[in-house]
Order: sequence, then C-alpha cells, then structure tokens
Amino acid sequence: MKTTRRVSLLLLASLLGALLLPSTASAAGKKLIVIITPSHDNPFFKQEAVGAEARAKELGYDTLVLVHNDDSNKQNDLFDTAIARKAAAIILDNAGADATVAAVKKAKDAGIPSFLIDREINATGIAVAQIVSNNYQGATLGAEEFVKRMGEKGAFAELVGKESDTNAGIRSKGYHDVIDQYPALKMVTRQSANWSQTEAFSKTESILQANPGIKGIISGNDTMAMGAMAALEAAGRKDVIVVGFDGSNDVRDAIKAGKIAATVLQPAYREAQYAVELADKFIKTGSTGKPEKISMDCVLITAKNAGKLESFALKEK
Amino acid sequence: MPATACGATRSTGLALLVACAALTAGTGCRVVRDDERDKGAPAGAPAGVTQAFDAAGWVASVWDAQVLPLYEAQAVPIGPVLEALAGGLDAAGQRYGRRADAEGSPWTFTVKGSGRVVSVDTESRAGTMVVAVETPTGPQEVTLQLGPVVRGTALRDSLPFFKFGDVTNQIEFAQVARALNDRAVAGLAGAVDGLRAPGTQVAFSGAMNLASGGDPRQVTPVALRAGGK
Repeated sequence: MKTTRRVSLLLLASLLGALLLPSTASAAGKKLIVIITPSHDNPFFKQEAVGAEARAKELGYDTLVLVHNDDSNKQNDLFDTAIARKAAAIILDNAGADATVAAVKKAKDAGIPSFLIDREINATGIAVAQIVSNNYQGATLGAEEFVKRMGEKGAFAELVGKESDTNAGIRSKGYHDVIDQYPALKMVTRQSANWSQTEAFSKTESILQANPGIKGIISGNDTMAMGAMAALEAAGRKDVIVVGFDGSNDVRDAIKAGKIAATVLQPAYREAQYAVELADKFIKTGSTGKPEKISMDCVLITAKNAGKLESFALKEK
Repeated sequence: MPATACGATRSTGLALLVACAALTAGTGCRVVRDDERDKGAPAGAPAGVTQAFDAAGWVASVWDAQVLPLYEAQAVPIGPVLEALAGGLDAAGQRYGRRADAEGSPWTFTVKGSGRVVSVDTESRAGTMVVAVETPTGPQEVTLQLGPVVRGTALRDSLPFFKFGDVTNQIEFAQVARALNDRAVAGLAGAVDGLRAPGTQVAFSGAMNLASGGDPRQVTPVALRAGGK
C-alpha cells in the first residue's frame, strides 16, 4: 500500500538522519575524545569513565566511552575505532604494560595523542601523558596502618589480586616492603583471590579454619576485603584487622562501621579529569606543559577521614 | 635502544647518571632503559620489575656528593616554616617548599632546626624522637623518624636532581625512596643513644612531606647531633 510505503520511507529517512547525527555534530566543530577503560563492573573504572566524560563535555567535546575488559586484543580493536572516528585524543586505562605499547603507537602514527591514566606502560615517548596512580606508595600507606593496628606483631594472611595484573604484584610488593621490616609480624598464608569478592569469601573461610590464630588480613583490593570481612563476620571473628585498597564506598561504609580498619584511595575520578584537561591543553597548544610521566599519590582512608570519601574522591571540608 | 640526555646507556650504569646529574645540575639526566628490561626478574616478581636497578648503589653514590651538601646549603630553618604552615599549606609550600610537577603531590620541605627532646620511642620499629623547636610564636613539637623503619618518601621528594620520569616505573621510584631512608637511618646509628634524656638540646636537618595542612609534622633526618640552640 502506498501510504505504508511512504511511512516506511519516512521512518527510514529519520533513522538515517539519527544515525548520521553524531558525525554531523562533529562536522559542526565538536572534537571527539575517546575514553577507554576496563569493565565498568568495577566501580573504580566506572568512575574513571564518568570523570573523564563529564570533564570532556564541560570542555566542549563529544565523547565515546568504550571498555576493553582487560583484553589487549579488544583494546587494539577499540583503538582502530578511535582512529576511524578521527578522535582528537584517547583517554586510556590500559590493558597491559607491554601489550598496550603497540596500540598507543598506532594511534600516535595516525596523529591521535593518548593520555594514560591509572596504570603506566613500559615505554616512554609514545603516549603524551601517563598519569600513574602510585600503587606502590599507596600500598606502603596501607601497610603502615596495618602494622600499627596489629601492634607490630602477630600472624596475618594476605589476599593477592589477579596475578596477571601488574597492580596485584605492585601492591603486594609495597605491602611487604613495609611489613617485612617487622620480624614479629608473621605471614601464615598468601593466596590469590583474583580481585573477587566471592573468591575472597571462600579463601578466607578456609584460611580461618587452617589458621584460627590470625590477627589480620591485608587485601590487594577492596572487593576482596569485603569478601574477607563477610567471612570473618560469618565466623564470628570481630578481632581481625582488615585493610583493603581502592577506596570504594562499600569499604568506606565498613570502615565507618568499624569492620574494616583502612583502605587506600586512588583518586580515580580526579585523575581521569586531569587527563582530559591535559588532552584539552595539548589539542589547543600542542603541549601539556607537563612531563610525560606524572605520579599521583594515593591517600590513606581510616575512620578519621572516611566521611569525606565519595565515589573515589575525597571531599575537602 | 633509547638514548639518554647524557649519552649514557643503562648498561653503562648509574655511576654515569651521578656524574651527569652533577654536571647538568638537574637539567634532566635520565636513568635509561635498554632491552635488558624484565630479563632476570625472579618468578613471581611484578611485571615491569627490573632486578638490574640498583637503588642502594645509586644512593650510595649521591649521598655524600649531593644529598648532604644539598641539606647543608639549602635547608631552611624549621621555625619560620612551621609558623608559615599555620597560614595554609600551599602558601607555606610556595614560599619554603618544593613539589613534583603534579597535582596531588605532597609539599616537601628541606629543613634544619634545633630544640629540646620531649620523648624518644625506640620500642616501635618505626622509632621516633619528639623535639620541641622554637618558632616565632612559641615552641612546637616535631617528630623525627629514627628508624629502622622509616615512613614516607620525603627524602626522595626533596631531591631536585631526581624525579619520577628518571626511572622506569613506580617500583624503582619507591626503591630509591627506601634506599634513601635506609641510608639516612644508617647515618643516625649511634647518635641517638646519647640524646635520649628529655630536655637534651639537639640539632637536626631533614625532609618533611605534607600532603595536607593537618598532616603530622614529621621529619626524616639526614643529620642529628647534640647541640644547637
């Protein structure tokens, strides 16, 4: 029927219009910033993306938010997308210190500058900026508080993150750099719970059965700390000192409730915003005015300042 | 192979870095990586850890030549610093401190001072001495770290000739901080025993990091002795 066909054609035309709209907007002068992070399942990475996107929009950019799920092949595909879309800049929390180098170089060769956040890559001169969350420094802060709360002695267990993730090793090394200077602190077991809350729960259950004398658990991240805390509660153990890492709202609340001793905040939100600001400056002036590698310190969160923590940012006053 | 600002490769060693740093006085000499990176790291070491990096060796080579002279020449009296801090960290930092070129970095103060011992705690492995120093507005207490465990990175952050970009990654960056702390503690060995009595007059120089105005006034000393006034 004629009317039907006309309606379909109209629909088709409007659909096409909708599809074309983003590029039309770009043609009107808005440049594109592509934001690539690991999966948003972890609120830490979500806040990175949220922070970067909000700042990019404030500065007048279009944004495209993508996730690589810590898969460097997928990350490579996403870089192709950014190149095809003629991005003005890429903001990246990368999928591997070595595997990422080629992708960033490919973008550079295509004239697209990359601004790295959170984790560094093992090469310089390829990305324009690497804003590194100083996990090692953060881990020493967490460990210092752990040692203090343990009274410098006693048996403890360590929950380590996914061994393939650089930061799992860096944090563990930072912990031990401090703790191993106290001979009266004895590590009875060190196990990976792969950053997972459920895995940390079951690992902690069996650790408690095998080592009922432990006084503390130091964990490579907050989700594992939450798992450990749940297992301790289930076992009726309120005396065990737990320290996490990341600064999530869940652990903040557990600190306020006295169930977790401390965590370490990585300023994910601000770091992402800062990367966008450097990108904006670079796009406009050809230089960030800063060294490529910038270390951002982490902050210890205890009952004293937990109230100021919200979505991976510390509110002053 | 990556080139260096000073024409030295990684394999020719840190000694050159020292020489370069001395010659170029902070104009950006870099510790340079080459293809040796990641080789020889033990199983279980974090990715990117370079076992070849010798932080203690580097510190040993700069300690007498550059670190101690820096403290002799550039340390500022702690009294006015403490007084300025009462008016805000950023203002005090801009006047007396230094800070890495990055947001969120602590202010580092290279200070010297003297005062009376209030208390000494060497029960903790993170040993401390509390000293009351005179300021224009009256005495204030500062805590000197005696070790053997020393917290923080104030000494590293106080060095104008060393920065994050000079090493491969945050682990090496931390190793330098630790090696400096260890060297400082070694230099204090034996000095503390004669200074334990409350009221003893002591003089010190060292570094203090403050990330926020409310942080404790804690100094990592490079020198501590009886005397001063």
